[in-house]
Amino acid sequence: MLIVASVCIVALLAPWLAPYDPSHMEPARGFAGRSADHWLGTDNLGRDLLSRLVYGARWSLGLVLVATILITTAGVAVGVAAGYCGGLLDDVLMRLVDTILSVPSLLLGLAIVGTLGPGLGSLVIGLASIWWVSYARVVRGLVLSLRERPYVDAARALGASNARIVYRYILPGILPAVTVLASLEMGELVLAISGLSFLGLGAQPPTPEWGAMLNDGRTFFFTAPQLLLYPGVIICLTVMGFNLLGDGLRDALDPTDAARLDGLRS
Amino acid sequence: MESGWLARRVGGAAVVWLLVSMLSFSLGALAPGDPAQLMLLRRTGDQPSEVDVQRLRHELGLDRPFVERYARWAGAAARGDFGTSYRTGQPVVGELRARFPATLALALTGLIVGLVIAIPLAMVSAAARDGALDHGARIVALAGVSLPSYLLGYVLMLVLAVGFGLFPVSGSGSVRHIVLPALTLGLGSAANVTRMLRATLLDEMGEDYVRTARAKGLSGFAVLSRHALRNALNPMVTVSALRFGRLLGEAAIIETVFAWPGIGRWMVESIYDRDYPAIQGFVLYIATVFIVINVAVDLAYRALDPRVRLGAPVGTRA
Amino acid sequence: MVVAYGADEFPLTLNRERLGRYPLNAGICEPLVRLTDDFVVAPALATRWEYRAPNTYRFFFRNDVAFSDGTRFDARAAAHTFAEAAGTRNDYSFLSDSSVRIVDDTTLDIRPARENRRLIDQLVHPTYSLVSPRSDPARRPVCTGAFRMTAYIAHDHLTVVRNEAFRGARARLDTLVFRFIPDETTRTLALRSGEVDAIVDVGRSNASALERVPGLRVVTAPPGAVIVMYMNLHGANPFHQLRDAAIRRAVAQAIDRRTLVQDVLGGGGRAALISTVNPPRVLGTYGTLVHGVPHDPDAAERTVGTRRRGLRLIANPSSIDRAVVEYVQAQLARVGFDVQVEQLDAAAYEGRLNSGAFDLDLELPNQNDANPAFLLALRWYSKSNTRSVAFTHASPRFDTLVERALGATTEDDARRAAAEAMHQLVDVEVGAVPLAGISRSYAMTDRVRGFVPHPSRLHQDWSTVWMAP
Repeated sequence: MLIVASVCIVALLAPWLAPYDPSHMEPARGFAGRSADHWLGTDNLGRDLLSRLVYGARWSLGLVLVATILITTAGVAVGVAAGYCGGLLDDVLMRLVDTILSVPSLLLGLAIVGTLGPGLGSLVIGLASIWWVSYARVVRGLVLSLRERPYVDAARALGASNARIVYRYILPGILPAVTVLASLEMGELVLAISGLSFLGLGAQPPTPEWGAMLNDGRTFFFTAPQLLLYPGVIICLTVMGFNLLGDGLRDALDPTDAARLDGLRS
Repeated sequence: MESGWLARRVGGAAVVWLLVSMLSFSLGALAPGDPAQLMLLRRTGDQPSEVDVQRLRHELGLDRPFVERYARWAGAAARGDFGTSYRTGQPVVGELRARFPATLALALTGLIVGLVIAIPLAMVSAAARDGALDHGARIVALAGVSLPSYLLGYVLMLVLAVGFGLFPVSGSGSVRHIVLPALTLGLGSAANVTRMLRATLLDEMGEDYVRTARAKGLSGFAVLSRHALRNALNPMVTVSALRFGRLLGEAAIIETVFAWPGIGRWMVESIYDRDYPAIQGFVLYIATVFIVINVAVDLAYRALDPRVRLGAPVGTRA
Repeated sequence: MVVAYGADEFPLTLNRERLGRYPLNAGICEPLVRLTDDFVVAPALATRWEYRAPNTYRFFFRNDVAFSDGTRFDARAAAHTFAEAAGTRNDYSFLSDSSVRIVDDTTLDIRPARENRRLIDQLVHPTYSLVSPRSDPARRPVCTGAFRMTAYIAHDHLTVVRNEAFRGARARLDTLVFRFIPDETTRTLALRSGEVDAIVDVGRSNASALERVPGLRVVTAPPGAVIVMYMNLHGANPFHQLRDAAIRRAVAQAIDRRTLVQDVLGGGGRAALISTVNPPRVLGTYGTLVHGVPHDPDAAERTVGTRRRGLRLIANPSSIDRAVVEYVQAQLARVGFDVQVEQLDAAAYEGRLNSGAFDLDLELPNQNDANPAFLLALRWYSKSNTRSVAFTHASPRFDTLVERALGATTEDDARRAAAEAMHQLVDVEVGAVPLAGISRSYAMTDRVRGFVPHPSRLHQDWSTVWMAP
């Protein structure tokens, strides 16, 4: 929780926290160690590492956040539609979900990003278009159980419209579990973005995105390990932060919801 | 009822297979660029003449309607013929067969490594619920999953291969070669398996039979290992099968780092080259394996756990 | 001995039919003529050759050569290889199906579809190596080289053993394994763990780390490649800005190449400040005719004016480091160009290049043959048969100079004409900016002896190498 909160604050306050322009380079002063001027030293092109990491929080978190909003919206919409309406619609949507699930996700994402062309936009779309399926499955499972709850039946008996039931009873009912899921999956998204950078399709230069920074640092594994170490540690902490946050939220959930979530999440 | 369930299960799987085949075929058929032109360009590196392109289009049947082309492709694919790779000029199915076993071996070993790490951690964690050991075990499990896999791979290579000389850095060919990539893969999946297993164990511990056993004087850990674990492992089988799909994606990166001659690396290159017959064949091949595994796991699940008698369609239960 | 290479198949270079010849030249096969490390043509399977007007090369072969399976090498076998090559190569050789004529057992005429006086320079390329017509070149090529192939597993390894029937000095190694390890860090770790004896393509950072390890050494070849910045000279809106020569000059003036070479690329033997688009060696003494546009950011800034300009840059994903891209981007930003960099995969990159959807393009062309005008003819000559030339072709004056180089009857004339064409391109028209000369580095254990680095990685000879006990 603390980790996630502090990373968010850093991202928001980047322009005030960063001592330098993250893309200002002085190649002659590359690979500088820690000093009073550069707290974490400089990278291969003589850019201030701390500033890049601070601005990187913006890009990395921003990407993950936008992707998560897209993914959650799509996942919840499909999951609720399938779970609440049931019948043929449920069958069709779930077959679609199964179809996407049966294809290795990272590679499908890669194919989509490659076809859409470069850019942060296509990165987000590529990730979102495959990631929503696990949400849809979880949400559908939750909705199926909520649908049978007595108060939903009561509302229906009183003549409430479907839209109203979904809005009043179903959505609030699934919200806690979806929040937990989003938190757990945000960690995986951070890693997925760094994986795409490794495969050559990450953020474009000079964007100081953490995954891209880590990937660029690879060739300096022996001579300047700090170029890998700092982004590596930051990514590791952030992913852990999201996971711990998710775990904490999960423990606060209604136990049956929690068990359902664990069972449904793949 | 039993045979009805089976029929629904297999029917659902068949529908998914058809959908996947359509999806994978569309990946290539709807992509920009003319396959005939691409093939000629790949072969000679030169801009082909319009006559040559038309001739090849006709030979390949590309001038036929979309539906007919799909039917022909899916029919051939069902018989195990995925066409010829634009890039290497070799039959796609040959490349798939040559490379898939390596990836399968890696993914299975990774899965086992993940379980070997996760089971003790989850047991410790569940036994000492909310204690220091619980938190410790969860952090350990998380450490592996929080690092990008290639970084984890480098560290393992540096320490275990270069430092202690225990295993080879890269390549394939012996059992020792698979250790480091499988460890990297397994560490990456251990956290999720631990989380899930811990939760199931905690649930099981609330069950009557566990309380009875404890009342009889068995220690918490003994109850966990003798009774709860056995029951908790059943859902694990399903989750492991589902994680398998993610493992395959991750394998693409690990195969590159460890120079493992698997299908993931080859797929990434095919995507970058828009080698559509290879992409289409790969997606359908993997999906077929995945669907078969899922059906098999569901069957195993029902055989293992007589309590389950609810008919559930493909993939909806994890 | 085990050597770790990057990849056995490069994206976009298809065809297993070149197995063991390209992009990895495993020493299994030989061309008719070979390339010395001064980029000069020397005899190999052909002992001599003559030009017969109007447009034919006659080759005289050795008559004591056998393929590694024992069958005899003769003109018929050679004709087979060239007929295959005619269908699969595109490098301005103008070979066609009807180019080859067998004169007798040891004499062959090659007549390109168009006049080509540089054919002899081109035939040193390993893709023109001679393969036995009875072997399957995609699985197990049988050739006449110092080694003979015994095993190949794609993405894993290729194994060769000494060809005892080799006509010349026997290879000193009895077995040589090429391992394919795509990740540079992994290659470096594999060398340090003793798993491999030598590694190819060591980057700046790993080279300096390995130099400090006892028992290992780093060998750097003379420059064999150049980082070239291509410009879109004929783009349609919005890629039309570099049609203006003044803007092109400003782009060239903006970049401090000295800092690029010394600090970004690490200087030393790995990167060199040069002004030619080919390694200067291939121009002999005429390289000095090309001066390069001097670094002058103030002049560039004056040209750009107060309104900032946007440019789009693409870079070859398999050969250009992100650091170089970021450096160029930052240098141009200082004089008023906002450069948008597009990170593309191989096919998307190729698509952009061929459709002219770029302003600047960074690549690392290698000099793999003896033709001093090879790159000029391929990328800026208006009659080139590559697709991207529609956007990069230079002026008619440049064409005339290239044609003079292609048609020159002596090597010296060809080099001088190529240098003049390059001067026209780089200094007068500013149609391209050569950024830095690049050398390949190899790292190996001290036990590896007899390794002589060739500037072209494709012509690296492993037959002289041996392992000390």
